Amino acid sequence: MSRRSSLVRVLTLRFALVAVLGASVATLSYALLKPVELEYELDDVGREIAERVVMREDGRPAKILLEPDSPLLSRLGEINALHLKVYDKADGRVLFAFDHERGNSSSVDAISSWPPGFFVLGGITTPQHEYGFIDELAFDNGAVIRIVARRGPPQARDYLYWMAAELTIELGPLIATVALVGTALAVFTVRRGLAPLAAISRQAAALEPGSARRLDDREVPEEIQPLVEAMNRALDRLQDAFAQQQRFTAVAAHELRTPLAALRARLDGLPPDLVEREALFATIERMGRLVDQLLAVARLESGQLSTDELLDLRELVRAVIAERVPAALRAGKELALEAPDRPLMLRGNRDALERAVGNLVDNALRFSPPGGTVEIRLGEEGTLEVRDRGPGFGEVDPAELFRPFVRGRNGPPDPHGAGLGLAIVHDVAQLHGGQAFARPRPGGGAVVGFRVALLGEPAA
Amino acid sequence: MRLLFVEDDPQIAGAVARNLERSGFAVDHAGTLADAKACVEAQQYDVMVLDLGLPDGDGLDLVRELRHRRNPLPVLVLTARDAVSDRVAGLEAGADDYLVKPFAHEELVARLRALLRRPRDDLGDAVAVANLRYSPAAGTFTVDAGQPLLLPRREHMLLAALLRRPGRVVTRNSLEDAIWDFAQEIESNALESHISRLRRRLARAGAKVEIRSIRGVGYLLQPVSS
Repeated sequence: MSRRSSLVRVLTLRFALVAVLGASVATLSYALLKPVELEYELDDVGREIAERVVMREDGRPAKILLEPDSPLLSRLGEINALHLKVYDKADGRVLFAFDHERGNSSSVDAISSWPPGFFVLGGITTPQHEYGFIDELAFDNGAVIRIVARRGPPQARDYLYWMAAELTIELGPLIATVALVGTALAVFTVRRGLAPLAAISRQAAALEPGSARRLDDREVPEEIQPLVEAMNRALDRLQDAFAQQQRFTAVAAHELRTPLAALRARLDGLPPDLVEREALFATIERMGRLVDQLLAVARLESGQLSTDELLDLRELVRAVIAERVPAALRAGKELALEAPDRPLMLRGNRDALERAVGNLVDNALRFSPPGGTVEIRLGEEGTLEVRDRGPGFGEVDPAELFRPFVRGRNGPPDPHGAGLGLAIVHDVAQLHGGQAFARPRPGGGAVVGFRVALLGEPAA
Repeated sequence: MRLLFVEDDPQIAGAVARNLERSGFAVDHAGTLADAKACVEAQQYDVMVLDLGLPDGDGLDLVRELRHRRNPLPVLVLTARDAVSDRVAGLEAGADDYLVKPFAHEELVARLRALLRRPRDDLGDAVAVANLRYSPAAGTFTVDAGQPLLLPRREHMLLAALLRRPGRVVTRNSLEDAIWDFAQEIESNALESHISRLRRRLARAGAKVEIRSIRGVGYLLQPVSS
């Protein structure tokens, strides 16, 4: 799953990275500039040895219990040139001794009486520096052991050990705190910084098509202002286009129909026995229908239709059918409606829906043979099906029929249609959250219809 | 019949006015809203044919003004706008009927005759289909101008509702609204049984009309065919 890049996420990550990197660089340079500190490891070793002290009956330390394969022993062996002795402080008894060279343990004796501390020793046995470490550990029963050690100069492993110790004990918590606080600050700062962007987005989302409202650029930072201004200018142009389209369809309807009406009126005034009269009437009627359908398409496609009327689809379909019954009966065709026993409520556009239903019924009537019945079925879930016994679709893919200017039905060429009727049905169904469909009817004919979203049940 | 024709397009105005005169109307023509107002004030008309888009205003304003002054002059609106909302606006403003351009002259004349015949406040002229006649004033049906046909209350209201719109479908909803109160529970086939009883009574009385049922939609009253 690909995620869209988020400014907040990216900026936060980068801030956190900067915090961690900064702390790390500071630590490293601190580590490199500071001389290596060896007492950490000797401290650790001393503590581990103290844990292994075995007490005698009288409460005095007896010895240090160390198995020959103890990891502590091998660890002692890794420390460069280590000599180490553990005494009972009270009587100076040696409890444990370790020499990196067997048998040469006398070397710590030179410093065994020194006070506790960490010392840099001049080259006593070697030209290089040596280090001395003396520690005293007290037990609850009053016994005290003395650990005396000397070791050679630090090696690579000592640096690593020291740095690890520095990091975990002293710098770790600091780095973690700096990184956490840095990240939290980064999130806060980024969010705060981008808040005007979120606010302007909310404003933009609330804008309606064709609305005269604009984005408020007074509160936005100067980086965002050009974007807001550009958007407002785009909205201005959009609103102009919108208004122009609305004016156009309103005026076009009037301007296109007026000469048709004049033509029709003049033809009505001609003698009734004129041969071409009926044909001319039919042509005018067809032109009128074409104008209607073109304007309907223009209105639908410009998105200027509101869909907020509360409508009963069943009542609307009844009214559309009722309007067409007299003409259908004169043509020897019948209409029948099958509908649920309850209203089918939806929010929509009455004009658009009446036109869509009318187009479906008109089509079915046109293709129905004389004596045939066009059956209209309304389903509970907002489905309208118009069934006829016409010639059907033949080879044409029913889905193609809903494209503008496609005429798909079999049979004689249709002198009335412009191939827009079903495209309108398609657009109207979509406008109402549904879709149009067409399929052959078993036994011959066609089933064409649409589904719309009723109130309370979204269309699938 | 004196008719006021308000239309600004000279081509339509001339042709339609001539056709109307040939159909027996005495036509006065007004090309603007102002002219139309002057005509209405100066002369008593039987009916007005009104175009909506006029150069000096919206025709519906004239209708509203007439209705405001309780002038019952029947108005048929001619409109070049097809949207249902425009038609509804026209009827709500007080127009009695509408016709979308382009229209057939016979259609215009038929609508005008219907308007002139339309009973005002249900007390006007009688309506008749074939040999069946309804007199709203007396509230009686007669067949062949003989004895009044007596019907039970609901069937009487049904037949009156159908007879008011002969040849057109009256939807189930409007029939149910006409004969039942809102509060009443209606059984699903109650309308059907009233209609079938009404059909039998009409047949027995010798009325040459039939009530066609348009399944799922409503009913339509027409003269018996053939």
